[in-house]
Amino acid sequence: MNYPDLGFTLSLLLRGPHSREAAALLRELPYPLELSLVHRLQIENALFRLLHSGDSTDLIAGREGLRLWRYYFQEQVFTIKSFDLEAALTQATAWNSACPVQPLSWALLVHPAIAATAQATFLSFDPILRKYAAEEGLDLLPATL
Amino acid sequence: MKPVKTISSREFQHRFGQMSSRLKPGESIMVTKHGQALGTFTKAYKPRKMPDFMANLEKLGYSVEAGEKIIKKICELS
Repeated sequence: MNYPDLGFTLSLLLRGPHSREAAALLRELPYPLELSLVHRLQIENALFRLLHSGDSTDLIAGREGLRLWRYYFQEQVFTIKSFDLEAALTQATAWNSACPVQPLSWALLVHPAIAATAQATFLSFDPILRKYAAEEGLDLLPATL
Repeated sequence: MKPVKTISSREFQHRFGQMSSRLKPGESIMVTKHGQALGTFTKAYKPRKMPDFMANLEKLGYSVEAGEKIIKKICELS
């Protein structure tokens, strides 16, 4: 299976610098893309926050992002899969403790940890998160940055 | 849903191509031997393809740079 991090998933909902590559990669992958409840909470929370930010670009991005998010679930392009979140949080906690420099936010660290518990191919454009996943022996997409 | 059509195991073996091309995706046929049900064969749906994510994003009314700032902000605040 394939498991995307937060940034990769957002690139499918908000038009950003990695959107084209993320879209092209997904076109080659099996249908549907399985996401976690962590994605659902993070993304819906972020998009609803954009709706209330008071900035006109944020408002458009939030409104259109939510529309696409709902549409992809309705079309079963995205589905929510059950993952071992306790094991993933334990793994992310271990990475956090062992990090010699300022660690990444837990909300980002949790995604390679979830991918590791599922032994999934990890979809990410973040070099640090990719490094964690690679150290767990996961395949990465894109193969190189 | 119960399959409505039946086919003997002999016919199933010899006329598989013809029989399967007549079935619609999701439609089933019961395979029998000596009049007893052996099992069902269900024609698969064609695998669905991922949508054109980029085409959907290109219709949005803001720039890549603005989107980049928003994605970065969400990842930093998460």
